[in-house]
Amino acid sequence: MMLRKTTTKTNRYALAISPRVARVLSVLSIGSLWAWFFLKFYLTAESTWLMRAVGELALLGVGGSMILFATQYLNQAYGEDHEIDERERSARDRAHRVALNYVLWVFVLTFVTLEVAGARDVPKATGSAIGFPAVISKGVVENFLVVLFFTTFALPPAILAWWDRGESDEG
Amino acid sequence: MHNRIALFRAERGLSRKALAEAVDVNPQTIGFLERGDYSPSVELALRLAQVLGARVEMLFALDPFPSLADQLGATAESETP
Amino acid sequence: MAPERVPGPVVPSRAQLRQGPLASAFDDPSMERYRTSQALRRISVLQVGLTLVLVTVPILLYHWHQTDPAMPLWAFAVAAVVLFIPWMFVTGMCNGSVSGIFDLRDAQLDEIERQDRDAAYRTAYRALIPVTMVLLGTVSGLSAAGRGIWVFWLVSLFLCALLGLPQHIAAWRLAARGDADAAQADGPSRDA
Repeated sequence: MMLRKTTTKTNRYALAISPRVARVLSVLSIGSLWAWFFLKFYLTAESTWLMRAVGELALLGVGGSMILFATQYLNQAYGEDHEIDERERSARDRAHRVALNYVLWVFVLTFVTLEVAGARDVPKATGSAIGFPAVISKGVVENFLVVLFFTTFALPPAILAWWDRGESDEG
Repeated sequence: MHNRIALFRAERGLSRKALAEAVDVNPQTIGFLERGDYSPSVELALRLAQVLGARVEMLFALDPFPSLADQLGATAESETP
Repeated sequence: MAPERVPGPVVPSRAQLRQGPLASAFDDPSMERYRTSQALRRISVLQVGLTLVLVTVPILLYHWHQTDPAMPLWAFAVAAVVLFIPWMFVTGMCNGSVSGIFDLRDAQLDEIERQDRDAAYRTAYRALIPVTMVLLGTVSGLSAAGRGIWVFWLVSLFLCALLGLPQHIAAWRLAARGDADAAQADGPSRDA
C-alpha cells in the first residue's frame, strides 16, 4: 500500500492498493459493521469478551471504510465529471445505482429480520420501545444509522474495486 | 459494437498508456474499449480515429469485421497471375 | 475499396426493444401530457405531498389508538387504504412522466435514458450521506420516552426518500432540460 498520484485527471494523491486487497477490505469493513450491529443485541453486563469483540469489530469496520474511502477508488467513485473520463463516469454512476439499491434492500431486510426475530423472542435491544414494532427501539435505529453512514461512504469505492479487472496500463 | 483499436494501435507502435494520453482518457479505458466492454461516445471515437490516422468506420462497426488474414489471402490470390 | 462486411446480428429497433405491457404503457401517446416541464414539476410536488400525508396520518392514527384504546383500529386501516389509492395513481403518473426509466430494463432504454437514470441515482446517493447524518443526529437528539413514534415516522420517511428520490431528481432535471430546449427553440440556432 503506497501513496501515489491517481491515474485520473486530478493531481490528488491517494492510497494505491490492488483490487484484490480492496475487495478483501470491503468485505471485512462492511461485514464488521454488520456483525457489530447484530452482536450488540446479545450484549449483557457480564459478557466482557463479547464487549471487546464488538468494540474491535466496530474499529475494523469504521477503519476499513475510511481506508477504502482514501484509495484510488475514491477519485473514481466521487470524482466530478471533469475529473474522470467518460467510461469512469459511466462506471461511477452505475456503482452509485447499485449502492442505492443495496441500501434499500438492506434497509428493508434488516427491519423485516428484526421484526421476525422480535416475534421469536430474541433478546431485545436496550432503549425505549416505540410500541410498534416491539424489538426496534431508538437505540437499534441509531446503531443501524451508524452502520448505514459508514457503509454509504465505502460502498461506491468498494463496488468499483469489485468491478476492477486490475489490468496493467501497458499493452 | 466491434472495433479494431488494438490492431491500429499496434501498427502505430503505441502503448495503451500512450494512446490514452493522446485521447485524454484513463489507460484502463483503452483496455475496456479494445475488449468491447465499453462503447465510446462519438467525440471519443473521433479522437481515437484522429490519433490512429484512420476513419471512424475503419475502427468501429456494428457488425463483426472480416478476418484480416482472410482478406489478405483473398487479395493475394486475386493478384497472382 | 471498402472492406467486405460479414453480416452480423440485426440491431433491434426501439419498437422491438420496448415490447411488453410495461414498456408499451410508458410509450402510450396519452403519457406525453405528463412530460411537459410544468407537468413534471407539479406531479413531483404532488407525489411528495401525498407521500408525506400517507406516511404521517396512519402513524398518528395508530399512535392515537395506542394511547387511547377507545379510538377504533379500523380508522387507521381505512385511512391507510383511502390515502394509498390516490398516492398509487400519482406515483404511476410520476413514473410515466420520466418515461419509465426506473422501471424498464437496461436493454429497453436508449443511452440518454440510461445516462439520465444513472445520474439521478448518483445524485440521490450523494444526498443520502448527509441525510443519514442528519437523521442520526435527529434520532439521537430525541429523548427516550414518548418520542418513539417520531423515530418511526422519520425512518418511514427516510425509506420513502430512498425509494422516490431518484425519480424526483430525474423529473426536475427533465423539466429543466425541457425549459432549456424550449428557450433554444425560440432563439436562433447556434450552428446557423
